[in-house]
Amino acid sequence: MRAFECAYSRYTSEPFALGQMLVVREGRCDTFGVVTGSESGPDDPSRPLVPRGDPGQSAAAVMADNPEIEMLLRTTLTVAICGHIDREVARPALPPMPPPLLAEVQAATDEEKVRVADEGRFLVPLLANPAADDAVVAAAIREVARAAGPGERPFLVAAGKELARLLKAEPSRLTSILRAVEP
Amino acid sequence: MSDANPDATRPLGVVVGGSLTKGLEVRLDPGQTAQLGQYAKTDVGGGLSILGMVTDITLKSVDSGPTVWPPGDDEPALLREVLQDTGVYTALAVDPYLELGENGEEPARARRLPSHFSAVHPADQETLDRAFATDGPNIPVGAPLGMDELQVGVDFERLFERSAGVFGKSGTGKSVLVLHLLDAMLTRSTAAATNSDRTVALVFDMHNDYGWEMKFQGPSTSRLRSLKQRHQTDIELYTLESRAARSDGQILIGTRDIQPDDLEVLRETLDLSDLAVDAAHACRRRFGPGWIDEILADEPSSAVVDRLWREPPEGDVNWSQVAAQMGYPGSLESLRRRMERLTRREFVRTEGSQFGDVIEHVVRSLQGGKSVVVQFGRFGNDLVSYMLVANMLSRRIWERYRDSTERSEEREAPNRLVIVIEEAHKFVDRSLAGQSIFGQIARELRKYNVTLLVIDQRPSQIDPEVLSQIGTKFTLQLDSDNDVEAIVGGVAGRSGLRQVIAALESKRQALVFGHALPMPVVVQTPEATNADSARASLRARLGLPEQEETSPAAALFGAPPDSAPPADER
Repeated sequence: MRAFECAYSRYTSEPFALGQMLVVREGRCDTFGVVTGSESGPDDPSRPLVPRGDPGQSAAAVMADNPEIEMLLRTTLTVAICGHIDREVARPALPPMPPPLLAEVQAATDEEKVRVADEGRFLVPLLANPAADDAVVAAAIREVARAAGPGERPFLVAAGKELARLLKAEPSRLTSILRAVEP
Repeated sequence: MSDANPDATRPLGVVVGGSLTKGLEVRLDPGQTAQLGQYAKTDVGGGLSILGMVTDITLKSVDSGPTVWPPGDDEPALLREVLQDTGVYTALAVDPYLELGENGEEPARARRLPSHFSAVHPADQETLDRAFATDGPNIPVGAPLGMDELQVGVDFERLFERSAGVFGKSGTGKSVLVLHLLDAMLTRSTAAATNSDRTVALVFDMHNDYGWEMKFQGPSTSRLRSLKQRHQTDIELYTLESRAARSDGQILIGTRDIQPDDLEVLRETLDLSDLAVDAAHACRRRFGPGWIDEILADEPSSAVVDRLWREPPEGDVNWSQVAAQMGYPGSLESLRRRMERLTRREFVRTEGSQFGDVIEHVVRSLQGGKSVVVQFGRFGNDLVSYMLVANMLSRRIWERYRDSTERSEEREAPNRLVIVIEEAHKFVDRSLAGQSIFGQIARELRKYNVTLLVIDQRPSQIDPEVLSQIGTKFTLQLDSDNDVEAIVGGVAGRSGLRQVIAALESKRQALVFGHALPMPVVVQTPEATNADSARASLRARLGLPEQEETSPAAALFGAPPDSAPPADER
């Protein structure tokens, strides 16, 4: 309920970024989450990826020379759920049901990001997930702030204050996340 | 925290704790500011609201983190911004003073508290009007802090029915404030139907401030029209100088007028020992009303000798022999030297009695509804002159008022008299309060229709018993902790008031509290101005119509016949 995994049909060198907000628009409500991890590897663990290509050759060139590799590899993402929209009402909280299996995962729109983030309250479910480390939290805040356009600074401050309340017992962690948000 | 509240319609913050005795703790909302002394209100349910005053502002942190590891200069600005109002915040201490009903009930002392998280708002004019509503006229004393567009007034009747005090160090605006109060008093009194309804002042004007004009250092004007210019027919000016301009009379004291009791108050300023004062009493007893003239003679007169010896010693008797015979060797000589110094002043005349006429004139003026200003001119810096005249005049006038009041069952009681004295601590310090007439007036409250308006820089030097009888206190900036403590001693919520006084600005800012006000208020006192608009505003506030032109005849010949004193008092 706190997280879900999703996978591309094959390997991709440019998956959704760490901290990016994604949405599943199927099920009882639209479920939103933040990318907390990304992993690429073979579908069949008994057939590990072995080094290929010549010295000095780029990864793209190696892939172009061996087009079958992309078919054998897969990129998966772990996503920490941070909110949902139920009948047009955005709630920065866990949804009543997990998103359905095999549902399509998409990038959330800027407007959705701002609504679900709700001035930083999306950090409550996010921080409750152990997978959301400092880098993820900082990236998620930056991501929504960019989406807020002219409201970027007010959002940063509001989210920072929400973070300060949540991490009142961990001032050093607060400092480290805020440093990552605004170096 | 010194700026005015930027948005008066928004709450200042929310209640997060407190008690009736220690006050409310209010967490200041982000972006809001508050000032010490500012008024704040909050609802307590049932249509009641609490009006209180900000008595302290504290910077707090929710835990030790931000204060143990505060963000450094190299930290991102966001970190500081985020920690404001989260990790660290501002708390207000608000002393609850009054409970106000919504249906015009009389304000009552606050006896209940708002619940947690009640919103606290800056007080508005309507709230202040309800809190400071008076049955009769009120004197505007300025705008509460942070509320420049609002005005607070003190109840005219209550202000002068008990003694009042204006305290503050030099240069804080005491004189301008006193002039404003006296101006309001006279403006109101002039409109009274009869003399006995008038409140009049007897002002001992040390530095010639309250007569014709007040000189002061101000941004726009250096001369302020004073009482005589503002109330030509209702003020009489007396002076100690013989050739003073614009004087209605000179104060003259004959040596036969000075009683040993009058010297009691001069012990310190005249450097008189207890024995010397005792010697004065002994001289008065033995030599009669002319005792000063007797002891000022180069040689003891035959009358002196006859009163001391049944059989005079052989040869010429000298003062040493007189002193020895009286039992005051040394002290009598000391008394003679000091009396000689005292009587060198031009307003003291030897071998005669002058004071009776002066008293008669002054009492007639006062009871006839006119105020009297005694200007000291060049004697203003001579504390002995000031104390001698103020004490002698006040004692005798008070006795006249006492007699009039005690006989008031037969006749109409005299009008109310307010005696204005400066450097009050010299008259009513701990050692003198028992003997000084001013200590007696303060203690007797309004028994004989005489009260005080004391002006002082050192309230800690005033006898605590006298100070406790000062009904309404106007406190401008004070330097000494002792002075601040003396002012707030015995007052509910004094720790908060102490903080407020300590934070007053150096000019035109006063904490006013006591008998004439339902709760303390910090105000920006009225500006010194000659503007007619200010006068019109004052009259309106006092419930009077627009000022009528003073006819030249009235200016020349005084009050109209219907306000003249009764014939039997002339």
